[in-house]
Amino acid sequence: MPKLLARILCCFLIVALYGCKESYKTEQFYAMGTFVSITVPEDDADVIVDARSKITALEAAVKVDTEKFNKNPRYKPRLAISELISRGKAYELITDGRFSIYSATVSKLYGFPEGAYRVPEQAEIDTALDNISRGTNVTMDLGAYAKGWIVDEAINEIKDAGVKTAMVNAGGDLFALGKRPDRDWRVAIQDPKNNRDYISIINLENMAVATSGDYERFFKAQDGRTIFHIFDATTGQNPEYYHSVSVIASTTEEADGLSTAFFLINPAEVRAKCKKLNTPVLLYTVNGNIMKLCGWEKFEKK
Amino acid sequence: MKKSKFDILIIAVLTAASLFFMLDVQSGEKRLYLIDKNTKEEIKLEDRDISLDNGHVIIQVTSEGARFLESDCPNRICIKQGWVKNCGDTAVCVPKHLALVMECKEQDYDAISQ
Amino acid sequence: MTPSPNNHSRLAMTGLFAAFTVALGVLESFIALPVPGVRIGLSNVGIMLCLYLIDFPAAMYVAVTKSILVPLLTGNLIVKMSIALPSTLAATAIMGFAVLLMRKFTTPLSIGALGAVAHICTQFFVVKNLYIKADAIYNLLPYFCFFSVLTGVLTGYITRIIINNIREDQRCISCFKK
Repeated sequence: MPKLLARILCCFLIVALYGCKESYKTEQFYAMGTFVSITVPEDDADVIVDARSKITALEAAVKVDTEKFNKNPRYKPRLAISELISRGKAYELITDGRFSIYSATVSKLYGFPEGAYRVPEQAEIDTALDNISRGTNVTMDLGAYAKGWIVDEAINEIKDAGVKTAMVNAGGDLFALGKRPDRDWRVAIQDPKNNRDYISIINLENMAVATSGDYERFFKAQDGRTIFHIFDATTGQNPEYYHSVSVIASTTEEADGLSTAFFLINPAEVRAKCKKLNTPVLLYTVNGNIMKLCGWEKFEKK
Repeated sequence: MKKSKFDILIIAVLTAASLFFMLDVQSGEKRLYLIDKNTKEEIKLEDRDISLDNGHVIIQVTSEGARFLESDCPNRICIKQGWVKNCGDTAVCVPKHLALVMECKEQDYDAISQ
Repeated sequence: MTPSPNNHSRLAMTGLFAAFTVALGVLESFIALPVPGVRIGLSNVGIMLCLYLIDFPAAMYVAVTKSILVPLLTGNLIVKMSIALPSTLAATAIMGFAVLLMRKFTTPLSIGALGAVAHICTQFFVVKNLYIKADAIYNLLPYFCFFSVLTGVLTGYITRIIINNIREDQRCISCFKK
């Protein structure tokens, strides 16, 4: 009799353990110039299709409206996009104009995003900066935070379908919805110097994180300088503070935008701004120091 | 002196403890490290020989793992310890302050932000 | 522990055991076991005999003598001595403590195993802190620990045979306390 009891208990245990182990399904695809992965519980796998089509639709919308605006500055973008454009103001304010949705006016002189890369003449840069400050003859690019916004919209789609736990990751700009069955979502922040190492691992629940780095898109100039894709809209040059900046925020759009914005300002300014915004920040400075600001440690693995 | 139950208990506990830690096998992504006194550097798994201590120590590296090939230390324990290939494998040369370790780490995160 | 029958005999016996221990230690460096790095730890027999037949201070004295003289006689002085001295002393201390507490219900078998485990653990600790400063070397500890239990039991067994014989030998009765 005790043996039988033990067996029954054993069975219960196995069933309980099995029940705990919720499995997830991940779909990866190429969009927004990077690999996007959507992870949802296996039972809710149907929602991936909707989320994916949402991402492709929004990506197309951003692209079409940006192109139309760049051809004709008087073009009125659709509502969602003009709201998105207006959000760029916040980042411009934070950085005293170093961030600009028009910084592509400068970066395209260098050949970003597609190449052929070159170092433009100072005169060309000055003209571009002049245009940015006057808002004439500019090239708009929402790339700094549009990706984050699209991730948020995909998450909303997933949430609306009643899914409680999911992750959408667009090349490192990601949102973690809910928790895993046994723990928070865990995200590793890549070491800019070694792509197999991590400088931090954080726990996220209903939070987003995004990272900007000087290693994402860059080219080597003839004089040996490395020139990467983030430009200061007041100088037309690369900012020189960090190798990477990661930001935790409540929306991916904010995390994405701030990670680029903070890239443009010095650590003291970042400290002041992130305190006001309540967004934890991880800075990896050019001289190899790791700075954890505004409560970043609280998110790290216990 | 006669046998005692306490003896058996103590010996059993000691054996069990060492077996327990022995069976605590690591798994996951393999990384080979060379430890030289205070420094620990990762070694890429590709065919080559590494010469250390002015050629007195030679480490052979392959795509699978590594081993101490030659060493002029007295007991040559590091050479006898053989290949460092599987998770947790270690070869140590105390007189030269050298060690080869295969460390494995389970991926303990769900995503990477880069 | 009660003192031995008389002080001269205690001193003589300690010296005898010290010589015995050093001899075993040197002898052992010629015995190669198939498992790399593993030693039987024969000299521990001498230290344990001291613990059982004389007293703890005598055992400590033998331990110090052994861990200085054996490296001196077998070479590679500094490295060996820096590792052997702390680990032999730690092992002797643990065994002394164990004998003090559990003499009534244990035999040298388990005491030997305890001492051997203490010895190997201290060795690793010393190597980790002096020579190879990486936690990774503790990976090897469980294997050595396992073998040390075996060798410890073996040396303990040898010690037990010797003690039993000595105690039955009429000539020795006056030398040691029962």
